[in-house]
Amino acid sequence: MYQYIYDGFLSDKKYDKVLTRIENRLLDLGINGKVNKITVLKNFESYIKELVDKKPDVIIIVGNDKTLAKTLNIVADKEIILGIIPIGNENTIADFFGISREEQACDIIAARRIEEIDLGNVNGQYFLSSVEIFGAGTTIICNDSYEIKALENTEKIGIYNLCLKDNMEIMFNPQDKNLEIISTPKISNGFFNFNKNKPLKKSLIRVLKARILSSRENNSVLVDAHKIMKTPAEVTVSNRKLKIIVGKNRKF
Amino acid sequence: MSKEFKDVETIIGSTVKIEGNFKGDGDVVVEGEVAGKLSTKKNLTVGENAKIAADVEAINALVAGQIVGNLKITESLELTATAKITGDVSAKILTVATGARLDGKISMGDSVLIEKE
Repeated sequence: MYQYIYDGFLSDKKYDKVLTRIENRLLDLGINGKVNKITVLKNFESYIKELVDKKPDVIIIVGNDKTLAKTLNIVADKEIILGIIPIGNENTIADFFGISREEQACDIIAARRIEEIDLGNVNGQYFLSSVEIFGAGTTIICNDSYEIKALENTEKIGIYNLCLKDNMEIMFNPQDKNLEIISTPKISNGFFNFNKNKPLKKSLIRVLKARILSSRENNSVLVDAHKIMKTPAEVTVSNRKLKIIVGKNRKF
Repeated sequence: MSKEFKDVETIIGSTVKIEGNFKGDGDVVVEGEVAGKLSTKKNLTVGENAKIAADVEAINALVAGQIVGNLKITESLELTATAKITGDVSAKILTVATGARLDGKISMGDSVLIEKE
């Protein structure tokens, strides 16, 4: 049976119409199931834990990237297939997996095209897309054999399992068991910008594991663009895979 | 993958410095700094502003920057006009452009071909 989890922000009345359209489409497709609505009175994580303990085959989260991020660490260790029905603009992960918005996602759920995706691990917590640290002076120890040192002209260094940002124009394979380290240079807007016709290149280095030490300006990392963790941060690809329903238009 | 990174396994850009024993499986481009040891199972490109203080191993190499260390190239080594090498070099094929500096011994085995521009 399908278990549907509606994130708390969907209790706003402005989402009533779209939720009705989704429920009607699920009914038409014959994949309707139990609806679990998160409210301000319920703690999201503990509610999901209770649900997962009942060992459902499929959990469909209805929400956005943050909903998925909150769910990830609870379902990752279980034999559960995860689906997404994205609502709103903050759905870069659903876009990466080729999942259309709102009721159009119901058809993708019904098609049940399942892929196994690498899961990153940072200090014992799972992550899906990235661990980033901002500022120069960062040291990253890679594969226990060499160090990457970020020089003064570094804006940030990211360690990516899959990369979602269109402005980086990079889409990496989330099934290759590698992590990609990308160093992004600062963009100088100063008057004396002698390099403006020759922008500095990003660095790209593939690793199996990395240990991020603090930069001079920063002693924390940003995980999946929303969670902050302290350094040092041990980053690896987990042996666990996430089983997720994807669309035909996925970017890998 | 983006056009910027297509077909390249590793880019060591000018915003980073690598220290230690770096081993690559694919093509490696160095535009920044490397110290220690640098080896790849495929091709190496060293940009004009790159500074390498390391022993280097690769199948083919195109060098426009500065290397202090020994180069062991299995097939072809090309030094452009801006290349500065301080160290011993071994390669089957060596191409040296006018202006390149090479301070060290050259070893080319039996099947030797030296081209000069």
